[in-house]
Order: sequence, then structure tokens, then C-alpha cells
Amino acid sequence: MTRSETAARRSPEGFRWGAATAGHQIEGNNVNSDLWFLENIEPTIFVERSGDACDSYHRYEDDVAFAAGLGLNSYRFSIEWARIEPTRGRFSIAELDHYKRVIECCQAHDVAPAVTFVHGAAPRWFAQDGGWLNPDAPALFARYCSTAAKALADGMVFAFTINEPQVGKVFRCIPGAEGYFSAQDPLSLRAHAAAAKMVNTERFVTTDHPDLDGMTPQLIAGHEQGYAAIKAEKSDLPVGVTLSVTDFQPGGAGSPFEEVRTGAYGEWLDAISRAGDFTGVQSYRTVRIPGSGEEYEPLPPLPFTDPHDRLAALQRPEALRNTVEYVYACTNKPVVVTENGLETEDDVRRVWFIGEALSGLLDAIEGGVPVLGYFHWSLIDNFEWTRGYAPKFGLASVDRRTFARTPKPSAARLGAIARSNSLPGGL
Amino acid sequence: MTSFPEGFLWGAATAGHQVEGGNINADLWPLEWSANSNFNEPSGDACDHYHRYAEDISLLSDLGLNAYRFSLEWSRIEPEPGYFSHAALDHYRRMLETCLNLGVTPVVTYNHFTLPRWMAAGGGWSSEQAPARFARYASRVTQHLGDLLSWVCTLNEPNLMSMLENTGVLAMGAGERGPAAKPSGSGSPGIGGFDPARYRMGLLAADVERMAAAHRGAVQAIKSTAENVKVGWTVALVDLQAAEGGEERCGEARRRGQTDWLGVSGQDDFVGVQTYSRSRIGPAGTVPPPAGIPTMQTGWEVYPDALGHTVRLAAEHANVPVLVTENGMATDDDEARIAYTRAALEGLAGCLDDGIDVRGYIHWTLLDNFEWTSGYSKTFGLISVDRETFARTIKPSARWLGHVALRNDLH
Repeated sequence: MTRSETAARRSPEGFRWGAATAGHQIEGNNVNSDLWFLENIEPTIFVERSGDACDSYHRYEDDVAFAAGLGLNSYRFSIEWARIEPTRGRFSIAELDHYKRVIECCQAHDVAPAVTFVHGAAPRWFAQDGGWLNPDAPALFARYCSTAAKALADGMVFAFTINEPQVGKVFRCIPGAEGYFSAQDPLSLRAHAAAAKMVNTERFVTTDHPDLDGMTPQLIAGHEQGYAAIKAEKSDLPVGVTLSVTDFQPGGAGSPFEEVRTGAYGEWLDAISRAGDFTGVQSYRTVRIPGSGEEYEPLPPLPFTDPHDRLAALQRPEALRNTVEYVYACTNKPVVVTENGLETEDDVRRVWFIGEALSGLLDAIEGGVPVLGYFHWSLIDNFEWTRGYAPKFGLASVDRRTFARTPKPSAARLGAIARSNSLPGGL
Repeated sequence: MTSFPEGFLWGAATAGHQVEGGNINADLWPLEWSANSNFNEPSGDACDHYHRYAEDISLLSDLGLNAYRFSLEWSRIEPEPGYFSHAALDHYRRMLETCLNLGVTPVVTYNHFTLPRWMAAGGGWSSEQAPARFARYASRVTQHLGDLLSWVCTLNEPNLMSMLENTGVLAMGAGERGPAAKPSGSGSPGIGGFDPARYRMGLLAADVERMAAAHRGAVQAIKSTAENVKVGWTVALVDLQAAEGGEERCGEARRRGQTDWLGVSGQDDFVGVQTYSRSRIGPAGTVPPPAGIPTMQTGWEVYPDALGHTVRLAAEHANVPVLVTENGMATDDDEARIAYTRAALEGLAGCLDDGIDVRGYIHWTLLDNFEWTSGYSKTFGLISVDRETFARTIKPSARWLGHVALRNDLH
């Protein structure tokens, strides 16, 4: 039986269909953040500054209405620590009120808010105090989580403590990444040193700092303490951490891919077993780890994809199913797909990708994995960190001067799936 | 005569840093938080006017006032040198549209003391590049907003440092502990190459030529884009009076601290007058007010006649139309505020009787706000603000001034 002969395949009742964004990437003018500072310093690791981004700080209602209009019933966004706690220990009621309005806006549009507490950017003072290398970092983060949750948790459907705390480790596991990081790491260290000098502090440490081993214990403790702080405010709110999960597969006989997985996720999967109501899975790519023995046949080429574009060829839709199944097998906890998407200028590829990835996700669900929701990255084209605005992940494009949003065909594709809560049979 | 000319502007004023809240990229923000800060408290959320401006402009309009003076925050519009935020300009465009939709005339101050941190780090107004930087900013602002503007104040109280140097008297803006921030210790919030020890309020230059060059460049930038906008600057005019034997000293202070600056306005469409009180100058400088006379929360003598006196001074030396851009009283006794304002307006009516071209009266201030180093303790507002809920409560003085505005008559 081929796919075209199957009936529509339904996702579970109450499934959360959404799209995702992050504050620093869409709000604009996050001037009190550590990353803004790194974007505006010499040398810089950023190809351009975030600047106005998508002006979602003022235009959040456009974003929420866009998601709602598509038929999505949830929206993942982040609150910005740098706005809420502009000075260490002093919280802004005005900014908490702002995010309360964002949450109320979601509710008014029947879109359930799924909220990340820290997504990439931290306050500048946090970086000046050593960032996640600071032994006090977990307690500082937990205090922020407690204050934010007290004001905002009531409206949330999911809370996420830290976004992709191990993404740097994952990227370093990708064969061929050494060349990139051997150039990027020294530049990053120089940029961080320049920032420290500029503000006359000993250190300036952001999540882009290359000392990943030094930061990881504090990040794990930060998640655990942040989890406890949010749960203390609202015990029935599902809280978790969102992991960058690459679908590492064997590329040949004797591949150490399982060791690679353990290195990239093991300590975090352990942390989730201690503190986490689900695992947030962020899945984009399949990466084969070569073995000592015979090389396997290449994976079948992807439609609509230039086979010579090495990075595009990694962005395989089956990565979603594989990573969701892997993470569930390790944790035995429900999964929320908090990010999945495709970097492409060609929206035809995105339309295809969404159907394929979700078909695989339904395979996983039918195979018994409790998946609570799917959030596509991203609702709108945005500031993709050091790479600036060039990478296009959005379901809508954004005019960088007028901030007008223009939906792409892929938006209608995801919306139709969400509205029917099912994948049509004819994929 | 106690009625005012047709079309007279009746308004209230605010300034961005004092009401918006979260003005993090401004030079003052890190100073407010630095160790040994000279600020009684940080501005923090202020009145959350950044998010609640629509409510505030509606309140102002409902009271019967027809003009709103507010300022644009340079540090939001140009957060990094040469990088202009369309999002921030769009925000101020929405404020202007809110005013115009309610029939409220906006009076817009392009710079009200606070500077972007990068501008402060580059020496503020004492830098030779300051006029060019301000002109570039003024040009971009006017390109984005010019079609909605009618009255623009380039600089607020540019003569403040000069007044201080020449009289030892500060008008608005300094508070009782003086304008200089003490040096902060290491580990204070970084400002990025900027030495807080060198900080002065607004980093204003005492040099009238330097500030006039900045003003003139901005006027040209504004007029080249929006030629019908009325442009001027606002001058801090403490009513300087000679105490016994102080005639020469007082005259010199008035010339260097005030009338030299009013002279700059001679080429403008109007001059903004900002006054609160008087100061008496003896041979050795300022003579403190005699014990027992009524004073404001700021320690300034309650002296409403200052308004009529300084409007006459401005008209004489600038010889252009006058717009009263600030006048008010820091007090927790709202009846005293009404009495002060009534008396000040009587003086202003006298100016009109004598043929002086006064275009409007804008009261300081719409909201109890962040009065610089004094923090939130000095209440000049027509409306009080709850510091946690941001709830606004209209004071009787607001309704009184609104009635005067609606009748366009004092009685």
C-alpha cells in the first residue's frame, strides 16, 4: 500500500500545533542583552547586527494573529531576561506587564502560549558577571525564573527553561566542523575579550563563548533550579528544557555514532530524568558519523535539493522521527517538538519538507511515542544569530524596513495540517 | 484681560527619560545604578509611558488640554552611532498619530538631556563632532516624522551648565545635590569607554557657541525636510534678581547664562520659556531665600511672578514669539499648585495685554515622574502615578487647568 492510498492520519486530540520564535531574533533593539553588545563591537562574530529585527516587540499582535489565522493553536516565543531584569536583582514590572499583554493577546486569539525563559541572549550584567561560567549563574537564573513565572506562568501551556544549552557541543560533533571552529573559536575569544575590556570587567561570557565544558555544569544546574522555581509557582504547568538534537547515524561499519550521541545529549538526558516533564526536541539534520570499516551506501538524494550543497543535504525530514524516537527511548518522557524546520530560499522545498517531517512524526506517534506538540521553526524570517538575516526559516518573510509580513505557501501547508489535526493521505 | 488668544496652546509636558521607563541605552541609566550614584534612586520603569502613552494622551485630551509636549529618546532612535531604528521611529510616529487623532497638537523635543551611551562616551556636547551628530539625528527623525510635526524644540535647556557656572543656580534637572555624578567604582555597570567622573547633566557645554552650532545645524536639517515646522529651543530662565550690591554680578549672570542664549533664538520661529522660581544674586553669588518663605519640594521659592518676568525677558532679547514650554510647582499640596499656576497665568495674561506674542502655555508636568537626581520624590505632576501598578490618578489641579484651557480664560 502506498501513501496515496492511505486514509488521513490523525494526530492526538489536544495536540499543540504551533510555530516558534525567540525574543532576540524577532523583537528588535534588545539593547541590554549581552549579544547586542557583541554584535556592536570590534572584532565581532556576527555578520550583521540584530537591530530592529522584525519589530515584534511592538508588532507581536501581528505575529499572534498570523499564527491564529493559519489555524495554529499554539505559539512558542521567548521572554527576554535582559528586559525583565535590566539590572541584577531589579525586575521591571513594566516589562513583565508587556509580556503579560503578549500572553493575553495569544489567549484572545485562542493560541496557547509556549514560553521559553532564556533563548540565546542574556542580560549584559549576567555576561559581565561571568555568564554561565559564574558559579552563581544557576541561582541567578532561578531567581529570574521565579519572578517571571509568578507574573506570567498562569497563561502558559508549556514552559521551557533554557533553549539548546548544548548546541555548541552538538555542532562540534559534526564531521568537518573542526575547520570552522578552529577559526571561529579564537575570533569568539577575541570578541569576548574586547567586550570585557570595553566594560572594564574581568570577563564577558555569553552562550557563544567557546568554553562549553566550563559552562555545562552551571547550565544543567540552572535548568534544574529554574525548573523547580517555575514549578513552585505553578505545579501543573509542564516544564522542560529544549535540546538541539541532531540525528546522528552510522556512516559505515564500526561507527562511534552512539558515543557521539551520548557526548552530545547524555548529561542532558540525565538532567531531564531528574527535572523535566517532557523533552523539547529541536531537530534539523541527519549527520552520519563515519566508521572504521566499510562506508555505507549514501542516503537517497532529497527531492528539490542540490546534492552538491552539503549543508542542504543534511537537512533531511526523517531526522525528526529519528530524534523523537531516540530521545523518548532514552528518557521515557513525553516529547514536545519545540523546533523543526528548513533553511531555504525555496519555499517549495519547505512545503515538501513539512509534509515529510510530519509524516515521520506521525509514524513515531503511531509507534507509541507520546508527542504533545509540534512547533515549526520559524513563524517568520528572523535574525539567525551570527549569520544575520540571510538564513530563511520563516513561514512568512518580513520586510526589513516596513516590517510587513508576507506569508509563504508553506504557511498555508502547515496551517491546513494543524486545522484538520491530520495529515491528508495523499502525501 | 484674562482671556487668551484664539488657538492658544494649553498643554502639559513630559520628557522621555523621566516617564518612559526602561531607557537602558541612555547615558544616565548606568549612572543611576553606579556605586555612589548621585541619584536618589534609579529611573527604572518610570511611569511606563513607553507602553501607556495612548492612555496618557487621552487623559490629557479629556481634561481639555490641546497640546502635549514630549521628547524623543535619541538613545532609542540611534542606539549605535549611525544606526537608526525604524522601529523606534515608528513608535514615536504612533505617539504623534495618537495626539493628532485626538486633536492634540504635539510639541516635540528632539533632545531632552539624555544622550545615547555612545554619544556620552564620545564626549557629549563638548565634542567637536556633536553638532554634526545632532544634525544627522535631527535629519533622520524629520524624514520619518516631519509630516506629522508642527512645533519642534531642538534642545531642552541648553543653557543649564552656563546658568550653573554663572550663578550657582540650577533650574530643572539637577536636583538639590548638584549635577555631577560621583565617579563609580570598578565593577559598576559598564558604559563602554565613558568615564562617569566626567559626567554632567546632558553633558551640556557651557559654551553658547557650541550649543548654538548644534541647534543651528538641527534647525537646518529639520527645515530642509519639513519647512513649515516651527522650530526653536527652550531656555531655562530662573528669574534672576539683584540683591543689594549684586547688580553687576546679576547683570553679568543674566547676560552670560540667559540673554546670550535668548539671542540665539532671534533667528528661530519661537523661543521656549521654562521657569519655576526666582533667584537673588548678591555680590558673592546666590543669596538663599529668607527663612520662613514658602518653598517648593525642590527648595525653590514659591514665586509665580517668575513667569511674567521671564516671558518679558525672552520676548525682549529673542524678539520672536514665545511658547511657555515648562512652568509648574513641585508640591504635595495640590491646592498650592492651583494657586501658583493661577498667579503665574495672571502674569502671562499681563504679557499678552502688553502685546507680547505668546503662543501657548505648557505646564510641567503631566505625570509625577523621575525628577533626575531627586528621583520620584519631587511631585510636579497634574496626575499621580502608582509606582507598581502604573495607575494614573487625576489631581484637582489637572481638572482646574483643563477648565482654564476649555474656557481659554482664567476666570
